[in-house]
Amino acid sequence: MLETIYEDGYFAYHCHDEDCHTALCAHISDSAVEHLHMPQAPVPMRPFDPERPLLSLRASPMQGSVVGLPPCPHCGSRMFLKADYSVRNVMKEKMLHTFVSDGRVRGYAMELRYARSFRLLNMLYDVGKLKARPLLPVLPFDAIKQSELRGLPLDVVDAFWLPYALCGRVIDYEGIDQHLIALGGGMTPLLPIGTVLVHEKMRHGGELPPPSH
Amino acid sequence: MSLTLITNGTLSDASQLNQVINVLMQPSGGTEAGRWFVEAGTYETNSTIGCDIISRSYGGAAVSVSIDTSDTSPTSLGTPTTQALTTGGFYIIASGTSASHTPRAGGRYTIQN
Repeated sequence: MLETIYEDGYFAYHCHDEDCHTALCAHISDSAVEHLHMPQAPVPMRPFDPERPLLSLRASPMQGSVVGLPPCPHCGSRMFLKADYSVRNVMKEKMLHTFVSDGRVRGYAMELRYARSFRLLNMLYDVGKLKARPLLPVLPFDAIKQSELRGLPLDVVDAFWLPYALCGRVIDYEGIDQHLIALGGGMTPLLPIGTVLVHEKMRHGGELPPPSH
Repeated sequence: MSLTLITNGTLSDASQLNQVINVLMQPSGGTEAGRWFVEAGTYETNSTIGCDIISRSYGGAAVSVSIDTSDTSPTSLGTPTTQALTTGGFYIIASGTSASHTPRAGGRYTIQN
């Protein structure tokens, strides 16, 4: 599990060996940080079919792949991060916290450890060390720094942004929004205003709001 | 992790039941540890051997897995790696460094949920 990711490409984690627990740090350019994928053809994405359930729509083209991190210099244990997240993983396998108010689902936030993984996967993709784009994009560092989100920890921003990004991807398909509306209890996912603001500005090519002092 | 046994004649509470549930379905941030071992013949250099590790915990996507070779250092094998990390488990593979009848490796694994 990653603990901190820095803009300059360094990231911190702990050795998972039960007798070691050494604090470790590495850089994304380290040769030991590598994308390991299964020697098989990528799974083709299915065309949209309204008869199929939402969660079977997207199979990851990186199915089975992991990202290897540098081994612990003390015990030799090596950590591998899951890199083949699918929609099913995110929606069905306890990756999201659900905010419920008055008996209705008002929004989602991703568990921080998954959000950090997505951040690192996107950074690796940006430097060409990942063979395919991760399931979900993260907000660029510049966009965060220029918005009101800059005061928040990076993983918290990602935790709120990633479920929103997932909804944005899935509702591109006609008919799928009905599933999401049902999932959300008829409510639009409630997100921090800054997250939505940044996304809207990016989508419409507008200028980001000036930093407030 | 120490487990609390439930005795006859006493009331059991949620924490006692949850200790069982937390084995079957790891809570957020929980880990599952175990041991792995692989041994098979490699008919030539770079032949791949592997083994499937089945997770006991279901319901939550794993975020990472760590493996070491503390039990058996790789013999006629390169450094083992993992693949296909899912809710149900993962796969450990290693490539042979030569044609051999007895390449082997083994150690501990820790799945982080």
